[in-house]
Amino acid sequence: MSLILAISTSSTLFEVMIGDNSTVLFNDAYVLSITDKKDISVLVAESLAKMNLTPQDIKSIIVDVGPGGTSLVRTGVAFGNGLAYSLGIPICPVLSVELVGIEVWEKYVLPVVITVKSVKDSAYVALYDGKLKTVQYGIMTEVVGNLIANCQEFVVAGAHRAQIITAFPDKKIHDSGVLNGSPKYLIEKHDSFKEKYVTFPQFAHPITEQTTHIAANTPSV
Amino acid sequence: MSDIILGIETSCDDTAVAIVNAEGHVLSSIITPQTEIHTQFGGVFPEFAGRAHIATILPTVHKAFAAANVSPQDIRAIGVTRGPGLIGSLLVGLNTATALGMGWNKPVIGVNHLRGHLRSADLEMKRIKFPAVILLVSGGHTFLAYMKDPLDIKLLSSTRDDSVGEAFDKVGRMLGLGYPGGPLIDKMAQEGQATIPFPRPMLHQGLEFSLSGLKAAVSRYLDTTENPVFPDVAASFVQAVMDILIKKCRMAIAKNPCVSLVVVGGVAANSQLRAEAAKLCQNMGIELCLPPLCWATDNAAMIALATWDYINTDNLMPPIPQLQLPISDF
Repeated sequence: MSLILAISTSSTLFEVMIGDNSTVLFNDAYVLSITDKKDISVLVAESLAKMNLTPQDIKSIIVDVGPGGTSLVRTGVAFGNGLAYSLGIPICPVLSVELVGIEVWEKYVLPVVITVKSVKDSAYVALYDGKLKTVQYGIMTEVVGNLIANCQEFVVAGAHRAQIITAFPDKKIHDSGVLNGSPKYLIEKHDSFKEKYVTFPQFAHPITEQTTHIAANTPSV
Repeated sequence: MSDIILGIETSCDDTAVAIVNAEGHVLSSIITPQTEIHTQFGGVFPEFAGRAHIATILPTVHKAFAAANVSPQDIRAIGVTRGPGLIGSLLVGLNTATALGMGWNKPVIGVNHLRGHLRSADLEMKRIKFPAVILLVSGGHTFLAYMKDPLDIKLLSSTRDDSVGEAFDKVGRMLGLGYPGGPLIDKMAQEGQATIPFPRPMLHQGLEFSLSGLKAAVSRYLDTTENPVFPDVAASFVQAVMDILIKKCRMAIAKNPCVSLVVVGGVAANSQLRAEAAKLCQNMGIELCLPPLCWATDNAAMIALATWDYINTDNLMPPIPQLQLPISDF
């Protein structure tokens, strides 16, 4: 078995999954609360124990690097990096918006605009169309307007769905109803993330407003 | 059983990792500073501090092992700062430490940053003579404590508002000195005369400190004075701070039987404080214990050394962040 540990902490729902190839073998989650003394390490340790595994059984780690709650994302990424380093195994950083894109695109087979709240009117805005085309940061309505300029029909996901539907009345917009992506895709689609795996001295970095551009020449559909 | 500890410190703006043995001998101490990042803001920008920690912590751990020429299997435990500090910064250190502990099968202990500072005076050689009065002066803390022995610590007083380091940084900004203000003000003060009668707030009112009034007085002076002589402003401000610190130390020593005064924290690097504390101790017939300059500011060697206190007393505190943590707590 080539076990994969998947970690997602980009929302207050912390999730840990253990999988083999593309199958989720075990998953556990809890909603973070300020009175909760549990943390991601406890969740991982409990998950391994329930499967009768040791950390040394894990052969790779795949981690959600946001965007999301900044401190929350760093919690999972710091843990994932530390575990990958100590076990001498690779780690794969995956954007939270890509997980949303995969889930929604499979259902609609239409371009998906995904937004994640940031400060004031700003947001992370991603465009997924069979694959993640771009992630940009800026004033939400402006960035979305640029991305969908040539697109008449698309799906919205994430934090600003109602706002986008209202702001662009001339477009045919489907509300996916999806706010956050499911970390199960970290395991189920891990083959498609293969080229993102790194080993120390490289490691995973949380996305920030300065590191959003992943596809420089795809500003619109 | 192994006698070396891996210490990790990320409570504020320096990513620090060290390997230290039970006697306080430092096998390695690597500090990756963030000064360049925060200089433009004139102080620590918490979000950027957290981001920088995550980019630097693993390389810093790696360098610490290489410099000490030991392997992870050689260590007995990992000691990591659990508070007080900035939550975003603490979380990076704590989560990295717990993951390393899981991968290497080593215990991870959450250490009180303030206890680390107290132990900094014993790095490389035992300096503290007990019982001792402690003055901790840093960017985040200003307080007096009484230390009967390494484990019995009682808080005597703290600041009502700004810490000394914070006041130095803010006045440094007023004087256009950049960040961090402490060393720059210290340097400028040596070129000036302490001629401006800035107030000494709460000088005669018990052991508590208050520095916001002094900082405001410097601001008012600069706003209302034509062509102020900056070195004189710096010298007068530093003198006012020193008068307050030394007076409070004198009162604490008089009230609490002790054989030494221990001055720790980043401001313990201030040359004038070191000189005036030495004079005070000479006058009062007690010893002055100062950490070497390299251990005065935040570092992980002090956290690693403090970890031994937790192990020796079986206080294996979990690595969970605690933003507020008194000195009396393990």
